[in-house]
Amino acid sequence: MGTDADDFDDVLSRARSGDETAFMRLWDHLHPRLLRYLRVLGCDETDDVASETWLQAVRDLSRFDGGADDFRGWLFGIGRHRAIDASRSRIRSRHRLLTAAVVPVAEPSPVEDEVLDGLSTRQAVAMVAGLSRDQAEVVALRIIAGLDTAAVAGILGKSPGAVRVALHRGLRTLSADPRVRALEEVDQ
Amino acid sequence: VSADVPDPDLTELADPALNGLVRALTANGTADELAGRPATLAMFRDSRRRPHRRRFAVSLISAAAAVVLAGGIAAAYTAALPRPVQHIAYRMLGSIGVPDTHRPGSPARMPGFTATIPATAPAPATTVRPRPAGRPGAGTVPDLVLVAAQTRIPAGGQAVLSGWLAPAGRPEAGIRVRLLEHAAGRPGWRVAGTGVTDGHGDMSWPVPDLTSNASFRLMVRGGAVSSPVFITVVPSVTLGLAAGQPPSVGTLTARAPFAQAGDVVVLQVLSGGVWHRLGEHVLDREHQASFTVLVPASGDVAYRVVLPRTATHGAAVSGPVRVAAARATRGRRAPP
Repeated sequence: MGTDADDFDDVLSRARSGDETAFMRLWDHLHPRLLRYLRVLGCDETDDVASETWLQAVRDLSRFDGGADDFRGWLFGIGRHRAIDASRSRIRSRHRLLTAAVVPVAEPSPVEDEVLDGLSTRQAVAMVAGLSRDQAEVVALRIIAGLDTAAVAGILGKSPGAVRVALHRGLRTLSADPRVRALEEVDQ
Repeated sequence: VSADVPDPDLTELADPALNGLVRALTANGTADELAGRPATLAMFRDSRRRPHRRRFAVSLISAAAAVVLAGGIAAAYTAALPRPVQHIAYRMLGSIGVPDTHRPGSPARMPGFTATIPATAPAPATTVRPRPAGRPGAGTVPDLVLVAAQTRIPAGGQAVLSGWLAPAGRPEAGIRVRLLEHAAGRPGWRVAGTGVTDGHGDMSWPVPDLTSNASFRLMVRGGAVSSPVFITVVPSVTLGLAAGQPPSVGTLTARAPFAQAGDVVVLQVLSGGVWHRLGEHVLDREHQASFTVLVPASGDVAYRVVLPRTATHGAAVSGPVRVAAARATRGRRAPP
């Protein structure tokens, strides 16, 4: 699905009225981004949390009132709450995961090559996850979720100014990361 | 950076390297990311088919709220409300002393109860085709209710199912009730056990040795059928390491005794704080799958396996296994 707002609004409207094709277009477009956002949050069970998020979204879809941007903010807000619930119910240490040493593979092997070939999006998500918690979440919501500053501020309970500052600092940190340069070379 | 800094244009950042990062973060979904599509579609269809459940739940909550607002707190305190409504009142007001008359799985609630459940693997049984659940007898109170103490249990473990029979909110004792089971991957429903309601209209079944997902319902002869309860069985999965030949490789073996031969296990490696998919193998007849990995020249690498959910079991993840540098795997003592 494209990101054109009118198209999104039309698809959203049809999904709300029970059109499964329209709903699955929403899902195709937003589910991968929801998974990446949850990974940035350090969620251990992203598939389960994302499933719970969509379950709640489907359940409450008929009561949802808003446009494309509102829907994205609503969906990712649900995802954030579900991720927080999951983290509370399972003792885990995001800090430990985020600071775990990245061990280079000693020499290439077929199975590792398979990973590296398709790693760019995963690696990009991991880089964002490596930022400070505030910066990582702002970068993820602004870029991955595609939310505007006001929506991100609403979800995080921060001022728009604080969101902009966190975004700038996060992007600056990422820009200085040599892996971002390497990623650019891979993409080219 | 000050708080009045302007929003950057994320579609065209000044730094071309960041544009590459943005493209990667917003790329179309991968096959892995979209793997849950069929399940989501099924969930959406199911939600469209069963709007009455939602109305029913809302009506129950509304009923509880109405009772409370109308002075039903006193009734709740004395456990005089219909059992489902009493249970909701307990959930809402338990902290201030409202009792719960329904405690799923609580042995104290089943005095004199008798039930028969085969403790061995399911034998061929009479196949029954349950009729659609009847309408609740009193409009907001279901006749026959089945609940599970836990809806996710370890493979080979025991599910505890409890039910109560209360037409029009009034418990009925001495009624024979059948527990029906529909095991994942098998056609039809079969009788898994029978029981007789006690003086509270309660009955309970421990269902041992569950090794695959299953749905359960209650049925009264010539009467109502309860809504189904779905139990997810979670198999254990372990990952072990054996030194390989040559010493620069190691063999990681995943074992999932309660999974099925042919199920897929996914090997993941921890990198950058995130678990990445390395590859996948299917479990053999011994419920095992092996992966050959490189032993790092220095430090260690953490691996784990994920057993994705299937129709017959839930998802499971092994504990991490660290593959240490070649020197350590050859048994040399690490320097203090």
